[in-house]
Amino acid sequence: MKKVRSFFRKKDVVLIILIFVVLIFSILVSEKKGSKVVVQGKDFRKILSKPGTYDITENGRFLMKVEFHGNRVRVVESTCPLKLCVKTGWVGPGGTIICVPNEVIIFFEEKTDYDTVTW
Amino acid sequence: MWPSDSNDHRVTRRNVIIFSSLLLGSLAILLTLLLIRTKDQYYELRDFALGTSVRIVVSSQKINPRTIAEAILEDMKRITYKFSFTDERSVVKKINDHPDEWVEVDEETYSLIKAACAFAELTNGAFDPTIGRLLELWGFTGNYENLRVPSREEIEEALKHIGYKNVLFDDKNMRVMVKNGVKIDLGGIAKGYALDRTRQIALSFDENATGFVEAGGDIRIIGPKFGKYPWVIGVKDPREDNVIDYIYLKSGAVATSGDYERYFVVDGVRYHHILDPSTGYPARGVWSVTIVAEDATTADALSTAGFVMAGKDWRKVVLDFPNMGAHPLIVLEGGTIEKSETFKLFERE
Amino acid sequence: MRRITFLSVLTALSSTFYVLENLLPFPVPFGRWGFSNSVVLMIASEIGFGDALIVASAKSILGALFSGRFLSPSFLTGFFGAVSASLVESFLARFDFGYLSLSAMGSFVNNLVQLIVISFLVGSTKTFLLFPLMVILGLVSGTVNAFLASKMGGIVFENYSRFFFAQKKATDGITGDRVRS
Repeated sequence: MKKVRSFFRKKDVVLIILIFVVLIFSILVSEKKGSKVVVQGKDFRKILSKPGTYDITENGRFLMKVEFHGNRVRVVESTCPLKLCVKTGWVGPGGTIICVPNEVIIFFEEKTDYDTVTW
Repeated sequence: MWPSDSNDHRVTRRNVIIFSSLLLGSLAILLTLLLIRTKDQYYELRDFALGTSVRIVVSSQKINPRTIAEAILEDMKRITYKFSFTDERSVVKKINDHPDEWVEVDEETYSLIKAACAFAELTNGAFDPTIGRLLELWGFTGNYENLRVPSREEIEEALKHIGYKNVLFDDKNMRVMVKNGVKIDLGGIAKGYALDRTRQIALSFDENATGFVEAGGDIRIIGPKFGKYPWVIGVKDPREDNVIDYIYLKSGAVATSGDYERYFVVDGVRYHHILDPSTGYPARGVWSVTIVAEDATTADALSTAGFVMAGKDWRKVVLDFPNMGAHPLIVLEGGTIEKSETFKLFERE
Repeated sequence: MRRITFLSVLTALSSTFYVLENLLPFPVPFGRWGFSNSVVLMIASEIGFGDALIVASAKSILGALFSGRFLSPSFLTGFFGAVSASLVESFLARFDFGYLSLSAMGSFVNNLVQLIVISFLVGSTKTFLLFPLMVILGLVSGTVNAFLASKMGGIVFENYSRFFFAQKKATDGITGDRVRS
């Protein structure tokens, strides 16, 4: 009679470890690979590629301060009354931060698994 | 392994090769078909209109999609001014500034206000376009520079000037009149209307145009992605930056009303802009309501109504709304999610 | 004849899994868990590539037909995923790995191929941001599939060995061997 294949054999460790290596590797790669963030205003369009804190101004007028960490972004400070953009907090790829009074949209260049979000 | 009772069914290397090549061949064909599809590039335009951000994603084989996108944006800006609560050019402001007087309006305005009142009737006032006085009181108009928590007396007083039945229509002459000092605010429906128009505009350029338009979290589909696939739409978590659900739409519209869109906090209490017309205070018990419907006007109006109603009785919303063509997903205070059976159909492609 | 019967039953079983697993929510749009691949896994490990391929493609097509999703995005991901998984699994099975790693590799490949198909459908390469998630999900479904397949294999071959192995001992003497040409 044929030997029935067992659930686990010592050899299995090889493949399992292989998969975990790939997993860790892919996680590291996706963390490091900085995405680009677009800060779009009425008269300007700024692209942030390096992490840091940026002052966003329009025609010399200060609008808001934006902090970019490579794969997340947030508005730290803003001149708008409701400060909803600040309250939005950290946003990752696929998300957007909107400041209606200042007419500024902040979003990531890359797409994600969905086309858009209803909110 | 198989007992040799017949020669035909033997798995020979030859058979496997033939079958595999056939399979791989059809694989290749399918893939190339898919690849050819993705040649349709979608043109994307982001801007501001209707008091919020707008994102237009459109593709057309016939016309330069940029032309379509720009025409759509133009129209949205036009509607922003026309139905604004505060702008000088607004017809709504004109009506509100002439209480107890007949004001002549154009067909677009007439039908929109009538539709708004019809939704008010349908939802027993949960959606009420005459909520202007209350919104003013709280400061949810204009630049939001006057946000405040009004006193109980002020609210009681303002409530006397709320009620969709105070809007009178003259069909023959296309005139509208507001009585009892009520003020019309079309904020809960104008976005939806504008979105429905975007589809009309796109189709008037090219009846095979596809894409979608998103304005402040409300979405109107123009046509399926690449002509045949559904658009993947995430439903945003009302509290965190992630998606709590995915829906797949090839047509129609979806709108969400949430307590996080416009709000301010006083003494640890959040006061948001979706006021309950019966109490005068922000509706409680709900964090967000998402409605899928065939058109954006319905989705927009009923997401507002649904929000007001769900806090008191979400079961009613889940059971009754589908009869009005609106399929709800409700995130109750605390984070529990309830949806209608019909909504679940949109969660599959 | 026995082969056809055997394969049909397994295809039916697999298609049923396929239809049922559609009801389970999957975090990635257009993706699917792949529990129906447990049947394919068993065949790939016990019998061979040919039969595994047959069942893999048949159950994807049938399952999609029954759930009304033929040629839909989820059919495409399911189909290509299952076929690639059966390929990998039957290949690795020759090296005597246990069910767990065969299944893990199979699910890994299944999900990877699903991602590839999805990125074609969506028209973007950034879908691969979801790769780590897919791998983790693959490990989950892989473990489940390994368990299912080993149980199924055990049941089928222990109880119904007579179905497969000729009564006459005087035959080719390759009882229990995986069929090679």
